[in-house]
Amino acid sequence: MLTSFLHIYIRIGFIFLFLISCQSKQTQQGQKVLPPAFHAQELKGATYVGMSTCATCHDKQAQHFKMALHARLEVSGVENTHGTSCEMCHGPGSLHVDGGGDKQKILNLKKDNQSCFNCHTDKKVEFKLKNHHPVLEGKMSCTDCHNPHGPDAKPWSAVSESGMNEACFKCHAEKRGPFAFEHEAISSSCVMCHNPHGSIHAKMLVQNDFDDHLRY
Amino acid sequence: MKKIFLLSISFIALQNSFTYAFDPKEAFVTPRTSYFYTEKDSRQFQEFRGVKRGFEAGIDQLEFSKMLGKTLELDFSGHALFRNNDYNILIDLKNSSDPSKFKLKTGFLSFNRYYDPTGGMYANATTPSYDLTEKLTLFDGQYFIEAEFPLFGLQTTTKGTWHHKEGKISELTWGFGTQAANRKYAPSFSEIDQNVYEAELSFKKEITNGDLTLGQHFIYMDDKPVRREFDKNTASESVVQSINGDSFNYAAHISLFKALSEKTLTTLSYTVGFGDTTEKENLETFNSTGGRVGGGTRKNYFGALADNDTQKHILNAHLYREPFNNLSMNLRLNTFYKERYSDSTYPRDTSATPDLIIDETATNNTEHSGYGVGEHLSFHYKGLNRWTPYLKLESEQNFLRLDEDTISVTASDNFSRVTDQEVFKSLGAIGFYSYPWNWFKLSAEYSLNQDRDDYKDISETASSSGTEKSGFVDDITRFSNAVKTNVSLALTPWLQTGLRYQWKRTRFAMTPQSGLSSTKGYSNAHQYTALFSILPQSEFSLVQLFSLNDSDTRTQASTVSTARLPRHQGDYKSLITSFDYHWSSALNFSLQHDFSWSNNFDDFSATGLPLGVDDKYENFLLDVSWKLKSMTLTPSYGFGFYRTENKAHVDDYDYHSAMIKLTCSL
Repeated sequence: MLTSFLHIYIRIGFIFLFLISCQSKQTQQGQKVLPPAFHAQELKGATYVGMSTCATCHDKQAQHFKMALHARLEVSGVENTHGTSCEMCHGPGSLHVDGGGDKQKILNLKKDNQSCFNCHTDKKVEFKLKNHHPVLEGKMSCTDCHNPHGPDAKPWSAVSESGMNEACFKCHAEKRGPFAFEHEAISSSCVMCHNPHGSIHAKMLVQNDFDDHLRY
Repeated sequence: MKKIFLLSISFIALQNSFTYAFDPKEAFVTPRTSYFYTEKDSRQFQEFRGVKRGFEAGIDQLEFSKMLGKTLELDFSGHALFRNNDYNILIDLKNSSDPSKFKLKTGFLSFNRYYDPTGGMYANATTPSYDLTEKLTLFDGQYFIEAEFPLFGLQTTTKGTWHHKEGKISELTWGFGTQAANRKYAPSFSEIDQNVYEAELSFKKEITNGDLTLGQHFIYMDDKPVRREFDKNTASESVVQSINGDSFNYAAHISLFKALSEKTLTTLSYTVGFGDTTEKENLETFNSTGGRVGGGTRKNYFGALADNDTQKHILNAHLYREPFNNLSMNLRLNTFYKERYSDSTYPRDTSATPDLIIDETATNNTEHSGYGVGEHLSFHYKGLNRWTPYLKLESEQNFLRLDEDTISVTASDNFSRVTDQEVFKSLGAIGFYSYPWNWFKLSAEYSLNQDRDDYKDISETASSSGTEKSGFVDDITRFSNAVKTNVSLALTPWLQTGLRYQWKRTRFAMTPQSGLSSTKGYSNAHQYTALFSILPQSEFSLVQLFSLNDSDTRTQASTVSTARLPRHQGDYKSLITSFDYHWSSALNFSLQHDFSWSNNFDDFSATGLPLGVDDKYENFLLDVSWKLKSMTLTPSYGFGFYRTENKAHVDDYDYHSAMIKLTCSL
């Protein structure tokens, strides 16, 4: 097992060495330090413009974002190297601004979850497990359950407007109820027993059936 | 019914780590054909990979944009793989200069979900045959249409959705059936026929420094599942459960957003909701030859009926304030009132050989109502250079009353009780995000979480045939400590590494009855995720993720010598590799590899209850994209396998795949 993909990596390594030796290298002198996601060809050469620039067109979104859970990610002193607010996830926006709002020059996270995975790397791992929601297959996206701009990026908290399990009921309507005899755990949250991203256990349970209930 | 509505063709951009999700303006189409070859358990392959084995063809992507007249812009994207009912079609029509004047979006999304028919069985059960011999496939399709336009000065949004599910799914449950008088895991499956219709209407009005939104949401569901069990051997029995249910839920919502100043923002919202669910249910028991059996504890209910009504009122308020420079505060309050009324009847045929004549009927009436309050207070401070600390506090208090009244078929079994449930939850988290240097990112958080469910017997009339009081325990408590930290290093522009660590320990305690000592359990989990990415050139990237998860749970059963249920382990390791090389403008290589493995199996052959997942799961895919003038040819090769401990399951498979895509500009 270990040797089989070790062989694969060795072969890839040789191919890689061959390929890069045939290519003229482009230097990275002076290139700003950016997370991997932003090395996409389409954003090459882009720089950060700051949230106030984003707000000139997206004023409502910028205003509401102050109340968002993700607003606390903003760190002072790194605006030009890591971006703030919008550009933390959507990428440096100078080309988007210069292009008059060119959609090709900014990251659209509804269609691609890679920006989410840049921070939430553990969730990408969970989506790769054998029992998982089909996000990586393109059948759904992170924004189907999460609102990254909203105060409840996680839809379950003591102060969620729509309630703990509404994100789940959107697709699993038969679980909404009401029922004559309700399962106590559901009144807390579906995630008491299920890991909605992925699990090694069937039905995305956090544990197999026996211990799931025997915990209590 | 599997109607395919091809109103528009939308093509999802390929999940490609090199090209991100941009909206391309050029039109193109990508027909595709593929072949999946499998060995051993191909049905397990279908469940995990979501595709059928064999040949498949379709359109992987089709996208184009077009101006209709001077102001209307049409965006069309689509994806259609016919054999797996894998469709994603989207039409977006809007006023290009001002989308708020008109926007229409409609689309159709569907896919097949496959299930392994050997679910619910363990190898050590008496009967070695695990196969349901059923083809378990669920079609999941959704059509929607959404429009946005101004109406009488109100920004109006209306949306209609139809969600249809049809097919069969596996169930991983304890079967109702018996084997030699003992309850065992019995494989079962359900036939699904479900339709959900939703309609939404909302109006938004801009007001000075804010907006007011009124919304309504209707949901109607028609659901007819039939659950069937598989007879394990001649000594076993199985139960068929068929439900005919429909439910209606309605919610109306009003919310006000107001910016009192640049540093003070508020929202206030109120939601009222009503729901009604009616279910008719039959439960029938059969022997291994399909004959009806009854009597004793066997279940034969015909025309059981449950009618449930619910209503809820939710008031939510949010205040954002910057009390000092660079200090942000969020204060949120939530309060709700909800009630549920349920009436149910259970007509039962008690004959040893059921004759479908009702011999007895039990009824149950339940009222469940109460209110709750939730509070949230959080701060984060941006005034420190390169460092943002934050603090979050949340708590919730719920007060619910459950009033139950059961009229049994035997007067001595009549039972009624009133139980008060008080639920208290609290959460505290403190953490920070920082960039001590441009190339070094560090974040950390510590959190405490406590939930307590307290049940109080208010009054009860116990059955004269028994001595049990409330069916609930006295209290259940969960107490968690958690730490998470994330370190990223970008030592050079082309080499970046990261490590994410999470730890969570939860203690569970349950007091069965007041005055007795609690039973305790705990779970402990460590998760390490390491990221390694090389980007020496913008044309080349290699990203590797390695994750190690170490989790175990110890329950009260582990202290009982005869139960033989030691701690449960849920460990796994994963290695994910993504490689892209843009050799030239005409040639691109892409490789995806993921491998995960677990080793948690404990051999309890004697009890027939093997615990823990023990398996290996690997997938590999290599794409080569070759640009030929106005076309791009992308052949792909993939392979993978799944291996599992054969005492726990018998689902090994191997597969190889070949695929060709041809992208053509239109």
